[in-house]
Amino acid sequence: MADIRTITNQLKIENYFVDGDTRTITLKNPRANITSEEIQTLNTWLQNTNAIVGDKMGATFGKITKVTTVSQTKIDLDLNS
Amino acid sequence: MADRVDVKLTAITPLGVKSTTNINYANPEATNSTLKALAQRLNQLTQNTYSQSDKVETTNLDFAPGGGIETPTLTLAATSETVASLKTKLNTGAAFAAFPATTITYDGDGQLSASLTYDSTDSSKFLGVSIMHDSSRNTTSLIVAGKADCAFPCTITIRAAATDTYKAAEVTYTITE
Repeated sequence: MADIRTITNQLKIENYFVDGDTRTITLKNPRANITSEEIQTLNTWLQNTNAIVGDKMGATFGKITKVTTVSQTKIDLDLNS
Repeated sequence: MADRVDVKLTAITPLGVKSTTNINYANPEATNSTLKALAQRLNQLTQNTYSQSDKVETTNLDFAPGGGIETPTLTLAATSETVASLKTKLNTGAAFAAFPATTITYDGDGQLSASLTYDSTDSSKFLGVSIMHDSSRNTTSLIVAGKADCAFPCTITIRAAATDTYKAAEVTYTITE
């Protein structure tokens, strides 16, 4: 047995709603080459379509405030070898 | 709060494993094609293979106060009494506890009230009604007292108010000649 290495990558898109609330969409396995133009396009699309709303009182989507990628590596050590 | 729509995005990861993302705050007024487009746009940011997007609708039933749906139990041990029987009981000079009474059973959380209706304009004739509630036993005693010589029949209506949990209920107690 060898060590088991698990790598998890997540893309976190923080959305700001006009009631001051923020909600984050978390997507697994983001592409490595996401451009800021793509995020800008998504931001504009969300503003135009109002596809998501704040879940406290249905507040209108404001903008994407932050996009982060989170990479997490989990190593299960093989202590018996 | 109003109804809610969630979008459940199920994708297949590069390793062939199912991955589910819930977007818990989709616009309830958004069309299906908009929600589908949202799912596709988000999926394009990942290496996942697009699989499906489910629209999950949650309907919140906002009950106004007094809109409870549970039906409470509201019953009387006895629902009628005759004047003769009442007079007999009243004239014995018995202790208060021996007054003609019946037990109300109520398992809701509404307020109980009683009203008396009879066909008489003579205010010197009256029939008293009092309700005693024993919350520890969840029972209420209806005590019929006073001069029982008003016009008969008369009806005592016991009402339980509607609450957020329970519907309103009422029972009647009739005194006949």
